[in-house]
Amino acid sequence: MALSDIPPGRWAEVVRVQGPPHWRRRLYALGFVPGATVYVEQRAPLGDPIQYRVRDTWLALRAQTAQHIWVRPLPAAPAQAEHGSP
Amino acid sequence: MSPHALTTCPHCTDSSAAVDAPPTTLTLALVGNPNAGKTSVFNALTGQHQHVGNWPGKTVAYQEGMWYGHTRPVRIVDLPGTYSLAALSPEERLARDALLHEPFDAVLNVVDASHLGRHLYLTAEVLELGFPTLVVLNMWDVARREGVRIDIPQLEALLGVPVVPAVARNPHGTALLQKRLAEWLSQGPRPGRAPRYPARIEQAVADIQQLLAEALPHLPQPRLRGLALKMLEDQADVLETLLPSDQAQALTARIRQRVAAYRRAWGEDPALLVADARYGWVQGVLRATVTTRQGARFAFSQALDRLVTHRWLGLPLFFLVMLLVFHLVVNVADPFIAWTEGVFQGPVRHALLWILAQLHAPHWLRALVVEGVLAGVGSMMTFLPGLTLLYIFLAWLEDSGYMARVAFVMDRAMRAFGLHGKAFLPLLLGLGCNVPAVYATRTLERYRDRLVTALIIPFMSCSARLPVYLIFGLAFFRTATVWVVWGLYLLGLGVALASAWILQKVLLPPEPPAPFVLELPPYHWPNVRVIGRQVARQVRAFVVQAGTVIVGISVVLWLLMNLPWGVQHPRASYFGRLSQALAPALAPLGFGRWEAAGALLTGMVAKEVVVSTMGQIYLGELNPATADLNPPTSDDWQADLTLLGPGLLAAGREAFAQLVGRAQPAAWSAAPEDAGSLTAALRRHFTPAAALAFMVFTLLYVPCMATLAAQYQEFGPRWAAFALGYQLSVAWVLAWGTYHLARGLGL
Repeated sequence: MALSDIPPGRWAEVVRVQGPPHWRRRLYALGFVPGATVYVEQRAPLGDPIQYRVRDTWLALRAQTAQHIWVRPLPAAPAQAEHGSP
Repeated sequence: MSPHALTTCPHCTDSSAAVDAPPTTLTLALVGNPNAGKTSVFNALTGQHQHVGNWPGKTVAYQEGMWYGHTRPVRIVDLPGTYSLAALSPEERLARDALLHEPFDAVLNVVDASHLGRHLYLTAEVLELGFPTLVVLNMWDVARREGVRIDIPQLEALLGVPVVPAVARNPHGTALLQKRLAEWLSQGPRPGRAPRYPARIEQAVADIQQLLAEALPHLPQPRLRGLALKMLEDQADVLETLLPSDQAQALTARIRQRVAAYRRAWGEDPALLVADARYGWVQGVLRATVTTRQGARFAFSQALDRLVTHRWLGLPLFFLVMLLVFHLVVNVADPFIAWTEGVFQGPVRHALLWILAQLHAPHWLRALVVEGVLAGVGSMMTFLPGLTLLYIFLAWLEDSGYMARVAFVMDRAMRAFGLHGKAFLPLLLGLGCNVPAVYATRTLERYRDRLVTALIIPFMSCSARLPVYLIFGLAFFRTATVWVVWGLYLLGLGVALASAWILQKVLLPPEPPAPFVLELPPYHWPNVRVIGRQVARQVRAFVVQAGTVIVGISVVLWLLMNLPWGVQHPRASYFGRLSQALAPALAPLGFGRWEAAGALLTGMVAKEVVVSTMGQIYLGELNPATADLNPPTSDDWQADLTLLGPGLLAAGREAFAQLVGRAQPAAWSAAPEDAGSLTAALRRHFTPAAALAFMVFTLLYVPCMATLAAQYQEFGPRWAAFALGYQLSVAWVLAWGTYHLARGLGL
């Protein structure tokens, strides 16, 4: 399912990133690569964008952008909390 | 532009040549992510020795400065902040292309020690391209506080380059960096260790590298390998500035075919595999060098964010902060503006007149200095209190991390018009004064966002336009005035938003839709010294750059009004003749008379002047330029002393009263004293429809020369000229429409 469909407070693992090449490159560079774990922090007051935590950093993406990131929902926080990241 | 301006030569065949650099000066590139604290490092190293330049042929500004901590002078060029060298925005492309094509001797890579996981990605790319690099572990103190421990010797071993901790925001936080940097430069910087990729990628890279080496034989092997990786990452445009365009296209096409073949053979996107491998390398480095004490890393920022971006409380809280900034910049600065004005009208004017009298200066010179130059300088100085406050707040909001939340909260509302969420604050400030509003666009990262926002700000009705609405409104529409005024404010907002849309969709070249990504850095308490220095620099830049334009226009206008020398009635001056020449252009709008044209012309200096000019012209007052140019009397000096001492105290008291909301907003008390006779005169010369058209024109045409000067300072002469033309056309068309609509409605 798409990252934009994961509700706040949940974890997910990136499976695949879609979209035009320059979108993908930008998202890879930010850490949305397959295998990366993402924590959904919250939505903005007007519903969009959405705040994510990935690789130690908070990043806000519009739902329209997060749609391009396919993820696998994780039941709980990943056990091997590497370097302080979720 | 600087004498050392970077020269980009599209057909350079010899771009490897660091030997081209002036023999005595070393040139370093400062590279880092947008939130790495690159600017703090830059400021700490170069101090006062810096200036802003424009890239040749480009409109993106860069900063460069000199560092004198080494036996040879060292020039440091601050490249735009970038997450990677993937070149996805104009700023990033600039950073990448500059790195590849400028003869830099070495790279200073600034990383945030508390966010190594993100920042080392760029480091990997820099190392890959074979640059001699020194890694600055900035925000070392924050990392320590957050329980991040970094094994620096181990990190140096893995990267193969020096790694130096620094706290650039602290006055003494770069002592070690300066020492190590000098040692490193003396030893002769060497490239570090590039990440290794899985076998099939390395094979493909070697393959592409072979092709590149044939076309670019002068480049060193590490650079060729880095370029090959960029090609594998589908960054075809990287060759465009290295080779003549036909050659670049041919080679790019060949390499793309290979890359497509790899994609088919691997069943996966090579760009993804490269990014993935790079992150694998970053993770490996982190595991070997960083330990984090689990705990309350994000706790404080998270708690604050829960409040600041709360579903229900978020927006009200946001509007409260915005209104507070607006209030402080516009209203609290007001008493100081009046005081500054007083100082220039009083003590400074008197001192100048006294000096000129001692020199036996002729009358015309006295008039030119006092009424032309001094008036210009004085009107520029009146912006300083508000601008200083604005710069302080902007720096504070930016450094604390709140500005990123502004964008987060407002993005949904602003993007409908193609505007960035952070454009909200500049537009709001525009309702107070357009000049600080234009400077507030600096909070936007992308040049395009800054430009579009700055171009639409003049349509936000600033408080100086209100007296014009009031005097016309009360003369023609009586009790309906309040609705007319509201209508004008809404019209201004509508035109601003429509212009944003038109600029984005029609006038500016289309841009591929970029994924929206906003980093929300953890909150932290800004450093007062850093902010102070930054504000001082910005204020100085305003005085020098915008001030020149303001004083220049002021002098020209004075000359127009007073030539031919000795002219009695304004109508006979060059100014009057120019107004008469312009009047026919305004005839279709219903007010094609030289008086109206003249009032609008002086309104370009400052909107406050429109009403007083009309008073002078319609009520037949003499040109006040011939007023009092005699040397000051002892009474004058007495008054000056009072102003400088108790006057400043009074301004402070009034500012405090504004702060706690016990004073009237200034704009509403600005109705002119002789309104009665002027009202009668206006009724004789304007029909209601023409009056309405005049108000619309006043709303939309050039707000004032200071706004124009601000646009000039931020975006250069061409965009300032465009702004001038665009505002005049929009004002003319909509005033024309208003006039005919109003006439159609029987006004």
